[in-house]
Amino acid sequence: MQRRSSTYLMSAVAAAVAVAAPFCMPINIATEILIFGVFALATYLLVSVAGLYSFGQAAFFGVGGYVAGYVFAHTALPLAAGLALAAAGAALAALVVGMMSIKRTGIYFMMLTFAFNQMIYYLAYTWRDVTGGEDGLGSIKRPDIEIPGLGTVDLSNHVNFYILAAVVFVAVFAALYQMMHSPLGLVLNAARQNARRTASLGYSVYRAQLLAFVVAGAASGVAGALFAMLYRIMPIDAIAWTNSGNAVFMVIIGGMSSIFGPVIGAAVFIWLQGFFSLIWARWPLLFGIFIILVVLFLKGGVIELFDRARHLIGRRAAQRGAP
Amino acid sequence: MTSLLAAQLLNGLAIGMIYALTAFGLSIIKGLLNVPNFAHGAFYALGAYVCYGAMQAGLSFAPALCAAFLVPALAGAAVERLGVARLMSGPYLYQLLFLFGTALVLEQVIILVWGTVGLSAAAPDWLQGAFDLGFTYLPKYLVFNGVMAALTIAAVWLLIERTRLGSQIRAGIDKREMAQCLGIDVRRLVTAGFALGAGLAGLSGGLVLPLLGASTTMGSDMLSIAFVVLVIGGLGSLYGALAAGVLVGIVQSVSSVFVPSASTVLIYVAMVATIMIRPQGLFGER
Amino acid sequence: MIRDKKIDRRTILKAGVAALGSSLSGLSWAAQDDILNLGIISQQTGTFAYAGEIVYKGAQLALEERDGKVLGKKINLLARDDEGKPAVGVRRVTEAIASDNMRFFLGNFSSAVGLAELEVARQERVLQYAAGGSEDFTGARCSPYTFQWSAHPYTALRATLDYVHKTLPDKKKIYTITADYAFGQSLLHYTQVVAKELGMELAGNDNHPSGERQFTQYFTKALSTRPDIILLLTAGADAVTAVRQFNSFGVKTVSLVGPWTLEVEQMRELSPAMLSGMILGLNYYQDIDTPVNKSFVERYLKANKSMPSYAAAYGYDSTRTLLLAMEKAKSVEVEAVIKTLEGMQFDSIFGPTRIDPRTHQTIRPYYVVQCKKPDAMKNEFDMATIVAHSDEQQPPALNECKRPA
Repeated sequence: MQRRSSTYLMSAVAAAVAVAAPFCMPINIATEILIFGVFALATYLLVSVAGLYSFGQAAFFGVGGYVAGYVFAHTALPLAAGLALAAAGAALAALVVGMMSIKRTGIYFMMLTFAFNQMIYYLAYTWRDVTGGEDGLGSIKRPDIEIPGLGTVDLSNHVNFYILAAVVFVAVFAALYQMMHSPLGLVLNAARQNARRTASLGYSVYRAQLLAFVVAGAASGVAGALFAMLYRIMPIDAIAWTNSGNAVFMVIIGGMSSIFGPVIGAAVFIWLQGFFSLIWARWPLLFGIFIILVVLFLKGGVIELFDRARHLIGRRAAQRGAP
Repeated sequence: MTSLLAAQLLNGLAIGMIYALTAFGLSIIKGLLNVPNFAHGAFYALGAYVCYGAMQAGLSFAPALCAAFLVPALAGAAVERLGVARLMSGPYLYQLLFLFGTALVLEQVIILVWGTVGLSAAAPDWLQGAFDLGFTYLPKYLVFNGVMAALTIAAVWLLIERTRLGSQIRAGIDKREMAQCLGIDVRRLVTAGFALGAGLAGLSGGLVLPLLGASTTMGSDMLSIAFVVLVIGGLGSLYGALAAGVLVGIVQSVSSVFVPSASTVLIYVAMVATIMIRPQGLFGER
Repeated sequence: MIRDKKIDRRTILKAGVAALGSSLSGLSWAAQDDILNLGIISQQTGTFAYAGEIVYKGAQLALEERDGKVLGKKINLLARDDEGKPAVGVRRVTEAIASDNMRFFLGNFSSAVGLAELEVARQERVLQYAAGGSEDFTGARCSPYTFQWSAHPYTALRATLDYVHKTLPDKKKIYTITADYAFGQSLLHYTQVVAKELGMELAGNDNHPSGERQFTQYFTKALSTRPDIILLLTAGADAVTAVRQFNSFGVKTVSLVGPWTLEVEQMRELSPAMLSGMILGLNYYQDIDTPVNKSFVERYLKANKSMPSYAAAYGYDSTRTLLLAMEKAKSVEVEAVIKTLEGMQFDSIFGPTRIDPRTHQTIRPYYVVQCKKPDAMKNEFDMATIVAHSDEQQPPALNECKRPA
């Protein structure tokens, strides 16, 4: 069993990456990577740790986005309230969907999450008065943050907004890492490998999985809220099942063996999308080929790539094995 | 009102047959692979476009429909051989994602070949026009659609239930390892089954071409509906998809009379209701 | 120890991120003083997928007329795909403003996309020359930074229904099938206004979602009310599907009218037999008889071997107008160009034209055509005849723009 690094250390790394990013790329892209990083981390919790192949995470991303979008477009509530409502709304949706889906296993669970995602998508599509339907929810404002003693932070400033996203990212990262190495995380891990055995040992697999599902839902909702504020419009595609598929891709592309995997996956995905969509309208073709190649030849994702590269270069690996 | 309802019922029946045919193909693949085919919508779209292309090249409707079946079937066989079979041994997540990637690639290739504009092809002259039933009009093509779908389903049923190959397929679905022990080449069977399923999707696409035209989003639209049909019918049941498909078509059409904007949501509500009341689907077994 | 292993990996990760990132920043165009970037942000995928390339071609022709330069600066066209989705459009505009110093853009086909981009244009203070059938561009959401090239839906409905009323006086009962988004709803609103003005009866309405593939259900419902006219308040691929499916009913007694429905590209997707007799309202048709248009059509035909349509005319005319305004203002600063456009009188493909200084609506006519029978067509492009045109503007009382006069 690997001894894990302390949460503080890991979070420090995440923070370092977050600080470095805007110096290497346009700040809009960096912000988007962090936002989808959060989304991918939540999906990672479910897919990699709990073994729950949820193909419906976009539903919670979307619920969070629409709730926050509505709050920031039509009310004068402060930032924290909007984010909290988004998280709560998404968590509630996750609770309902989770309760109906988690009892089923494997493929059935996956198809149910997919189908619930579709249902929530069509609800958003039809409820035009609130969500704007197909046109999306526009006119979303970024409320100023009042910090007592320090003054007002104007979030229209791209840098300030990035900092907000970075803070949320590191916080979610730390929370998820902590969770994964807590007793809950261990139960989830065990249940992923053999659910019946874990249950027979006295652990409530259902409760653990439901809790993870709700937490992942809430985190996805917060990511959605930030996304809504990024371009000040919440599009209907963000809640469509294709976005759920994208989240799973990010986890796979990055690599399922490490918590950095989903972050790398998000970066690769956003970068590919941002770069390719400008030069070729048919960029999803490249993306599709990319996925196929990863799935056939590089199942461990980018992290496996790094591992292989490292061995090729012949760098001395740190001593293996646990004490 | 009753005349309007009757008209919508007929409309829903015809569309439902298309859903049934497509979902039937999906059901066969699901049975053999135990993985939902995320590329199923793409095969459906491919069938429609190939049918269009065949007709543009001068073929009449009948051979074009055959092409609509064959090309996706071959593509399905290739996809299965090159990718799915290789990923059989690992967690099914990879097969899923492979199929997802395949769907993306197929849909983009379609755009590369045929462009982004929606395409239409007219049905042959003898199928144009409508029957004036007095209380409503019934387009002739809708009737043809339903009949063709029914005939195809019947043919496949015969294949599965009454032929040797069919019994092998059934064995492969029910008890894969046992079938292998009995000397049945399950791998080839799976490829054949996948090809059949993909071909059925393609044929649906071809049938639907004069009705709805071919468009770049038709694949994704059909994929979600096919999944719903599968869940409502029951994942374990091969034929559940048939009844469920027709049911979904009718629900969608009839509800558009009362709540036009919500008719698609209703399909999902129906799915949720089915799961809650009868989790194994209408015809599935626990 | 494991800890070190993770640190090793981390270094690689950071390096990886940096490597990815630096290649990205190298992509941005350096903003230079002697280059003017004009954004053509249009659709390359989706319902109006054909439009993007054609709008671009139209814009290119406007550039060629003046050797690709204005006020000594070289004009660079930035082609971007908005995918017909508001959020993508917003994103493309935002990116182009940030990375390419784009201050002027046009090209939206979908009203929803245009309206979302309107907010960005307002926020970032860049000039947008939009198209689309939603009245909000010059109404409730009017903005100092956005101009509207297409005719107002009131003008469109007035022109079309006036013609119907005059030539088919017995046909008074109308059933409408409407696209369920901004553009369609605007058309429906003005159908109601104009029908009332002309004394025509509205028998009922059905909204259809964008991308609808099954119109047979709406037609069945419509036909059950025994209307004289079915008004298709939808466009693009949806309209094509609708016309095709209407044909399968083979009902000859009901006239199909589309006040803002099929542009030439879509007409070509349908067989002449399906179109024969249909009355269409159009923002543009190649036979418009003005010197600017004649020259445009000739050059477009030569360059692209095909007749120009709404998309091409929009790309050409709006670009041309913008460049004219820059020359007149002797400046490429957004504020100066806006001032010049407001109330500018100039010759466009429609003849003498001007722009309303308050609402930013381009004041121009709307055309009504009748589709020809297959045997009356002189060539593959000769699908219809212009039978009427009108430039009745929206009554000021109905306008919701709150900008001061």
